[in-house]
Amino acid sequence: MKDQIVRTASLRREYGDVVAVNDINFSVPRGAVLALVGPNGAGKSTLLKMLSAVLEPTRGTALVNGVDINEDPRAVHASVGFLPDFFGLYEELTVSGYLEYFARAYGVPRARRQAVISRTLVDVDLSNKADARVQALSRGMRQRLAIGRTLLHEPPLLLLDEPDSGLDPESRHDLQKLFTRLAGAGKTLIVSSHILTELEDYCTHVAILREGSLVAGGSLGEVRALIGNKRRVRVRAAGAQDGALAILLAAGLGSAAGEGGSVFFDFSGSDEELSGILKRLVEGGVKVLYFGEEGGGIQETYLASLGKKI
Amino acid sequence: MNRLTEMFPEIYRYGAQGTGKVRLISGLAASLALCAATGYAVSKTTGSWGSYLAVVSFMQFNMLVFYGTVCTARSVTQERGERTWDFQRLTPLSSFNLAAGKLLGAPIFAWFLFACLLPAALTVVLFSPAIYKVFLSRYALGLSISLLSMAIGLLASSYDDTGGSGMGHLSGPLIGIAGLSALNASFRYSDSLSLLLANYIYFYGHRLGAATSILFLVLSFLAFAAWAFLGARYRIGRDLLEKRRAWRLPVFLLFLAWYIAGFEDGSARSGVFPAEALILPGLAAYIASFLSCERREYWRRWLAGESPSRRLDDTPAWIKSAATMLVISGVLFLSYGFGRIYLILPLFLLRDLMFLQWCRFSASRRPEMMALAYLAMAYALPMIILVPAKLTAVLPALLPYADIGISAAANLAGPLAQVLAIGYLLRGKIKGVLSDKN
Repeated sequence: MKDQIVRTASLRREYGDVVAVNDINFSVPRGAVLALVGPNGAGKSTLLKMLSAVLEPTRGTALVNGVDINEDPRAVHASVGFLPDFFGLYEELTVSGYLEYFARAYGVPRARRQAVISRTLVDVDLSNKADARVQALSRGMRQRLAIGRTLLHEPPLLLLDEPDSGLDPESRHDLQKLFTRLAGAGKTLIVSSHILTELEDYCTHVAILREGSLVAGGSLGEVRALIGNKRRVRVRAAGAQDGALAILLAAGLGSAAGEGGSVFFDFSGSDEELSGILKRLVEGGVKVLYFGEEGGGIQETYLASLGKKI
Repeated sequence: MNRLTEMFPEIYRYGAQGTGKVRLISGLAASLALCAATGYAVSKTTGSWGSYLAVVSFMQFNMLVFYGTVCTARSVTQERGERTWDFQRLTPLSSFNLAAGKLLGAPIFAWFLFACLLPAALTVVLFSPAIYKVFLSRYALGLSISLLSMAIGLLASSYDDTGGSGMGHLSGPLIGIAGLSALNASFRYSDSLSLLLANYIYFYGHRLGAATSILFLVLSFLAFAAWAFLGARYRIGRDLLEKRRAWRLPVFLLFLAWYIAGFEDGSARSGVFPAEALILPGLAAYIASFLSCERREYWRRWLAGESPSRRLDDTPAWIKSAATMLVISGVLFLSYGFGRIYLILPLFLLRDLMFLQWCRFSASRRPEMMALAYLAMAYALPMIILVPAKLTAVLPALLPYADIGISAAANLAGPLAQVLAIGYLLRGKIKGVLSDKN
């Protein structure tokens, strides 16, 4: 139980007659990076607000870092860094003044405060903008500054609601690097986003929401298996591809076919079974230059989930 | 100052945002120019230190009351409107810290201008020590009214749920103007106490002297400022999902009744009904109940709550209000007599508040407005229809007044029947909430 940083129990939120989040049960292991995906109105933002204890559930509850969101929401706030989908910054403050204010608000001791602010500025790559006014920052920088605010009190869990929306490719790339660094530093991240391909590089888990309900949740492999989504695998061998194709067909992979100098096949087994296929190819004398999945990531899994009934 | 900003980060933020060098220098220059111009004008007219003090303190406090109130009244409104509120809610700052930080920090530039003018007033006391009493009374009254006006501004701002409504921005100037009117009236009253036929304050039969009258007013303003601050703190605490406390509203209503009764005590003992001691807390009960917005969702959670102490703390505002008004009625009845009116008014209040809750259980998107509209009609229509139709015998059943031409039982029957009828309808709705599976 301790290794689950988030565990929900029939979490539900209604707005009048509309059920925004419908009795959701799921858990997130400590250290995971979970992609929360779903169309607009699926309940992602509502779910994140409840997990950060800024919105009371209608029914059900959740344990966040071991604290019940209904019993002690203020203690939950200490464990999470939450970035809502729409937010404002204090435009007239400087970047360092903004962080100074929140460092004071989070009770960072005076002696450590400057070091914490400097470290955060480095983390979010805004050291060269420390004295700039917030109103002069680009959208990507504002997003990074807001994320910096969530890091000041060193929470173990970050809840980020569409952090990349409206950003240009370069800013998205910067953000992606930041998330990878944070994940590397052992933070648990729950990121909701519509830009699924960019989540693939650093997400370990996925939760798919639709109409307030959880369609599937777990590690990417588990979710893929649950949805019945096949992985498309590409093999490229040195020289002709015929040998590889023959071995794959002999292994019962009827979908295997040559295509532009490579062989592709659909695979629905586990990672261990897939490595067994690679072993057979190598033992069969095929000089494998490339063996890997093409697609089959979050985007494909999510698209496959659209056909699944809630 | 450092200690204050460490204790209240909000003051640090307002300071960093609103006190740029240019602003401070121009504020200081303007204050010095005003003091010099006033000094010149006074020296060419009355030539008295008293007049100079009166003008300087007038400028100081009128600026502080109005500008300070506008600043506090837009404090939470602005946070909500500019979507910075959620970030503040996530910090460990308590509702007390946020409310106090906004109360003291939002008008930081107004306090700066106040401080710029202060040396001029202190100079007057230095050169003319005889008027220190005027100085003390003006500054005590001025500061207490400033805090009251600013606390009411903060209260109004904390209840501006959307941050985008015109009400949030309009309330500041309106409360500021009311604050100015109270400030200048109390200055005039303070000046009048030196006259021969001074109008002293009587409180529970005690005649207060000149100094104690000022002290009483100062303490009264501070007490109501503290209540307004607690109201704002409570509303901010609701956003922070802090636990409520059952005592706040009932104690405020009891305090208000006790305070008003203090002024009516003399006349009540000589046979005049102390109406305001009942009506003003009743009005406060209405306002608190309408602002509380405890709808179906709240009731479901409240009724399903397992901890008895938590359930007591979370008791809906209208129930606490109605119960307190019954207690107030009982105490006034035991103190002054006057009989049936003490039951009639609370019964009408109970009817109205139960109807309000009934509206909140309906499908209306704005149940409070719906309740207000129907209640206004419930009070206006009997007068409009029954009086011209000469059916005045029915009026005691529909309007809250004591008709000495009929028996107490007949006078009470109408409101009691309405309370029972609405209570029955409300019971059905509450059952629906409890059995609601959605």
